[in-house]
Amino acid sequence: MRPAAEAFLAIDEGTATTAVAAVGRAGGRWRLLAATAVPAETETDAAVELLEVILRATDAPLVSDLGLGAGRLAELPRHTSRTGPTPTLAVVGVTERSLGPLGSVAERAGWRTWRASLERLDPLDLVRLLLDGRIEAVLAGAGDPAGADERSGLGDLAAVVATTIDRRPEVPIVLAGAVAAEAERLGLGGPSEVAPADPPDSVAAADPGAAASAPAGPTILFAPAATAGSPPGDALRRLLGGLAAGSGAGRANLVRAVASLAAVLEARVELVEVGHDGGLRATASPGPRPGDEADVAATLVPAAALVPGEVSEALVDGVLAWLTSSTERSRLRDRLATLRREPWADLPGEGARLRLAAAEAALVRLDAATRELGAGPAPDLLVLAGGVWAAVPGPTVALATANTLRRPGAWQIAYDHARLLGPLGALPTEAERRAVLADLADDLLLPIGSVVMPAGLRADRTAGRLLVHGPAGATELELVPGGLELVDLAPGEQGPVELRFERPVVLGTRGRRFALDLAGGLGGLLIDLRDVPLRLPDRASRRRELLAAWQAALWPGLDDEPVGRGSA
Amino acid sequence: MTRAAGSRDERLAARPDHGRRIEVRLADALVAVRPLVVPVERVRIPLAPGDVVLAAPGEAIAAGAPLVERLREPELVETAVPEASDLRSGAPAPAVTGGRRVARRRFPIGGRTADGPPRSDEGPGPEAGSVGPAPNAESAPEHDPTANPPGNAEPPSGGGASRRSSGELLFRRKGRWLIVRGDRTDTGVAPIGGTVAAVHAGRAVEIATVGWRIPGTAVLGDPTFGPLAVARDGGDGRAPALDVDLAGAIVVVEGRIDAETIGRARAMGLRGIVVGSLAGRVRRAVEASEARQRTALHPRRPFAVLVLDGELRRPIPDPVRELLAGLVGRPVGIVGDPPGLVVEGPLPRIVVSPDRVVVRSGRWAGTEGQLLGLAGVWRFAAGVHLLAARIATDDGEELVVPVADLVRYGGPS
Repeated sequence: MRPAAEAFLAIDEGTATTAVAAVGRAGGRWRLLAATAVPAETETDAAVELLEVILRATDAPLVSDLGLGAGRLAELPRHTSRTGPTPTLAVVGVTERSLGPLGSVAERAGWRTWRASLERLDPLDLVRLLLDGRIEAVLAGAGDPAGADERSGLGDLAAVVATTIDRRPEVPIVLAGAVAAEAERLGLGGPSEVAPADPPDSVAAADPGAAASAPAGPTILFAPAATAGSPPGDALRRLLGGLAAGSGAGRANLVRAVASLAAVLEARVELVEVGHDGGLRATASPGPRPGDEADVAATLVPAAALVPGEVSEALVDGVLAWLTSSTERSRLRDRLATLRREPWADLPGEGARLRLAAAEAALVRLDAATRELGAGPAPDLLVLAGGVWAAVPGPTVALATANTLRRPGAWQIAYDHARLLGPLGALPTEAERRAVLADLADDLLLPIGSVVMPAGLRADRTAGRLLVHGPAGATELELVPGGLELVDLAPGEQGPVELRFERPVVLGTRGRRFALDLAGGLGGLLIDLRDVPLRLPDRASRRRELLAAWQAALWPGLDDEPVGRGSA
Repeated sequence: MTRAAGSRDERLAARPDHGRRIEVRLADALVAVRPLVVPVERVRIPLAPGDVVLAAPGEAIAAGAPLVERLREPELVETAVPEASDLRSGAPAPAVTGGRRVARRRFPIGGRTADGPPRSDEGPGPEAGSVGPAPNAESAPEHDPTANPPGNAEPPSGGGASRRSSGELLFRRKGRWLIVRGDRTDTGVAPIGGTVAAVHAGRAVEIATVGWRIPGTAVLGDPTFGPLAVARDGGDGRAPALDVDLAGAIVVVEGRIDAETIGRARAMGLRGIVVGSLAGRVRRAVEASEARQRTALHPRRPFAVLVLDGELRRPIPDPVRELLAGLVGRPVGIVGDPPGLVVEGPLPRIVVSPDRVVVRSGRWAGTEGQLLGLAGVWRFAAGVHLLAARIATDDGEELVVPVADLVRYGGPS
């Protein structure tokens, strides 16, 4: 019997659900033993107990071999990754124009923003906004130097901020641009110099901490303008990111894990997460030599949550655009509000359809907010994260991804089904992360399928031919522009694919003949010959029909009858 | 005496029903527990700049007693104020004459004026979800505790000539002060008795108390107070019967309710309504109606709608219904932060079996029954695989339901 120290629990505590996975060394390598997820309101220990039941039922000899007898699982070391609710920041300025850059920087730093300017609200309404208990910090800013339309209102803005400081001293205040530079003149006190436009990370991170440790008094931070730094806004973003650091710890772990994964797989990896209270997109490319740190870029987008905050008209429109069933607008609004409040409930049937549509709408918002990350070449591997993907079958997930993340190329899609990346990203050193990920990559990445998405197809009868050399023999298909072809390629199978186009297309590079080596998955191989970007019919009923037709082909059991009734 | 060998765990494990008991216990642990009531030590009553609190910190206040005078239409006045040491934002404005009235911006924002939420990509703004101050008086009556003794559920109705508040200092601008004041105020009442623990100008007044809160998910309106009554469902989806006999009461309404019924209830003098759920369109209609009526001149009394469980139609679960039935006739209050129905004193004894569960969502939402245990992973509609539990309904049926759709009601948390 091995010591139980050769196993650990990986716990991902989200705002909607808690995922628990047991990881142990078996056969000389780390293996995923079992995983489950429960609503966040359920005690984690109950999830561990459930995990024990699953483990005993599935592989009792392994449990015995690892020394994980009755009750021992709960005693294992735990690596926990915790994601808190997205904090809310009031972004205030003199003009509506100034709010754009400020709000955009704040959202990229992980804040949900409420924006208001003196151009739209009078000082009393602005004070009322800032005194709202849901506001957790305030960002007041202006250009540096202040614009001609801002100068006359700086005094009022400063007075509103001073009122907030007086009445809510516990709320951190960030002054940016001219408001910071002229703080003393405006009666807000402050340093003679604003933080440099390009502070090192440590400076930005240290400021809030230092302020928080101060014995008393309000926390006032001074920052450059939203357009200062390289890239523009970076200095302010880092400062605000430091303030919001606690809530985003789980996502920071995800980014670290993706970097390690890219280094381990020596592949370009992109992670896309749709969470209950925010979305994340991260890209990582391996360094030039083995052992080098991966090149990582990541953006947290609060608006890319499954249902971000209050249900707005824009959100309803976005979800309606992907929903395949007809529903009354007000009813949809209520269902989305319920989904926001009880994200784990009402999963079967219409609940699954709603989640898929909401997830697709969230992916669209995430893609729109992270254009710079999606502008590069397609990744080798796209990793999906977030509990929402567990609600629908794998092939449907592949379709949802292809529907929304449109870029020419070919890539494999995998799902972090046990939500291990967060906890593994919490491992203290890069070496440990790489060692565990090297063993666990196959277990933690559920292969969803591969997507081939050429661009520049002409609307002819045929675009060319496809030849897939699978284990069961070769499959040949005619490529029809505008169509969606599905080739069976099971998880674990690797298929050399030949594509011969009549005319040159863009598929990573421009050409007519391509030979790709693609991996299979639950959804097989998806040859997506639709427009890039995707164009859908304007008429709602026609759009629903088209989406439903695509979905029907990739959603096994979509029309299953409800089960569960019997006689006691 | 002979005792079984081995540890207690081993002895328990050897019993033939051991696996079954673990399954039931685990099912119990996995089903979410919702407390029927939670203890309340502090109640927070929201304030806006310019609102005047009628009791000082440390002062005892009875349930239903006037607590705050809310400005219905606050105005900003810029004026010179004689220098004094206690001039600070939030302090009462010294009596000064004259001053320049600052024109307030009233841009339509999503159908509301600037008093509504600010533009925001996702979140609501200040006062979002609130009906707004319940208008009570055209002008603020001078508070006389003897005229409205503690415990009296009838706040002063106002309407007569009364003293105009000198206002609240907002901030200093170029050597002058901006003051928030208004001509008309509404009187807000204490939803529960206690001691005024703290007053945060323009933000909230906190009451320290000892009581219980039945949790809800949302409140429309301001804190209110009154004896609890129950109106039965009108049947066939009809609106419940509400009549003037219920004036002054907070009424539990089962079944569907629309905006017109809520408007009529307010007009008849009801103090509040408790509903199982409230559709979003009804909520928006009520908010819009209230926003229009804020500009009316006639005095209005505190009124609130407490929603126990969200927007989708769900009946009030049996344990909650029993508790509410036990409170009929007792004075209760509605509070919004957090939402709930508050009550002082001992609660009626409600026995809820630990294996009693309610299906809160999905196809069988509202069904109640006994939890039989885990059923493993089942394939549900649309091919979704979920951990399921078996329940025996009160109608004698056995259902297999996703565990995540179940909830148990428990004791105070």
